Amino acid sequence: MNAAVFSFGCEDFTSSIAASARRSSGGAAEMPSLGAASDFFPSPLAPAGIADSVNQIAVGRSATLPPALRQRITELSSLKPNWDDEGAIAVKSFVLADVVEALKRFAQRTSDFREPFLAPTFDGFVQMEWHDKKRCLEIEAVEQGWTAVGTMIGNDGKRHYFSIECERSNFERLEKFYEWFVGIELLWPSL
Amino acid sequence: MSGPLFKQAVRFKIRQLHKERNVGNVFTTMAEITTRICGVTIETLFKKAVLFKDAHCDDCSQKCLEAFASYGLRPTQIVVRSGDQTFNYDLSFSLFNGNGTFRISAEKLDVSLQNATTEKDVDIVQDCIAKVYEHVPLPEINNTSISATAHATFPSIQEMQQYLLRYANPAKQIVAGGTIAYILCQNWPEEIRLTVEKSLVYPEGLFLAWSTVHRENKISRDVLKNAKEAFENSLTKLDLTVQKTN
Repeated sequence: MNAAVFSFGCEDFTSSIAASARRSSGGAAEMPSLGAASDFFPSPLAPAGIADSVNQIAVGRSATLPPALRQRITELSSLKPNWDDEGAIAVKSFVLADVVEALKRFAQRTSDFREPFLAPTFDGFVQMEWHDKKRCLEIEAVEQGWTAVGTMIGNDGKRHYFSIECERSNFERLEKFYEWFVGIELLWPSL
Repeated sequence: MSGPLFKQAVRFKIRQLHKERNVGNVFTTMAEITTRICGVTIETLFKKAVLFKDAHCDDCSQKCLEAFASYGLRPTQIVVRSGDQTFNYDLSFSLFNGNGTFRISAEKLDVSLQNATTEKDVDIVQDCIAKVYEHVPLPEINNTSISATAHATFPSIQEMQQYLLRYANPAKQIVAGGTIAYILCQNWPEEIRLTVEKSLVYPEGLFLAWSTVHRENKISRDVLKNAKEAFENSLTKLDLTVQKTN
């Protein structure tokens, strides 16, 4: 590892980093120095960081979503730190990637996909909101995964609240919440 | 030598040592370093080797695809190599142009994520590792070794040399050195092995390598967060603090 940096695309797949660290045959002279990195890679070819790549993947994968939603995702991906002038964190790229994945799945689920309102949160996460006459759904990415809050006006005219948490990759679960909102699922999917 | 005289002699010797090694100047100040590039390797050993027929590689592949589709993983990038019908097999895939590799074999899970350069990249590294344990069905886990390496730089070459001076001994022509320390941190139950040496890539940099063990079951987001904090804390024991890069 000590001599194996700047190897985007030609990674050394050793299982032990320590072992690869010891195998530093080349030494500093053979490597582009840090300061020289920008000279070594012409700017269009400079290696993007992992987060930048994930941002690009998220925006690219949103291509099949409705134009307004796609536009919103592009806006979220380009938010800078302190976008609210109160010290908010930029949207985390891995969160945006998961939001896109969830939306793509929802869009495939029903023929009339209902677009959510997407809002960034101050701590770098994203909230998806759907509002209807009888039902509302808010799915928010959080540190540990997702939280979903559903609101429904019952036959008795009273407002009922439901909330639940699930793991980040549990998109099947998220699909159930969306199906509840559009009315395919009648009961709040609590299990 | 009587008691008071002996104590006085010891104090004198310590003062002399401090003077010789410039301890007063070097050991009391925290040196600030900036992480330039880092990588993490996770190796989870299963309690017992799993036969190919019990590994359910098809289900595992499905779950890997679900977990990592958002990172651009495509179905055909997941490879199941079946050497024979017993233990000679593995399921593997890579992400981020080969900088992230995942491999599940009969005995262990290997995850390696390299070339993270910013705090945002490190967030993704943590998310990738957590997703494997959250979503992919794994056999019973025995223990997990967590290793990380980083190149971190001082503001100048002189500051790097000044820091490493404590390990040098010009009288013996040892011009630069490093250290191997086994460190205990408050929020991490196991020893952390930390090595510090001169970076071969960054003239003003250090090469840092940590390794530790997690003995309980799965690696959660909290475990990863604690490990990261513990790794950062371990540096403070060697008078180093890390400046965050966004």
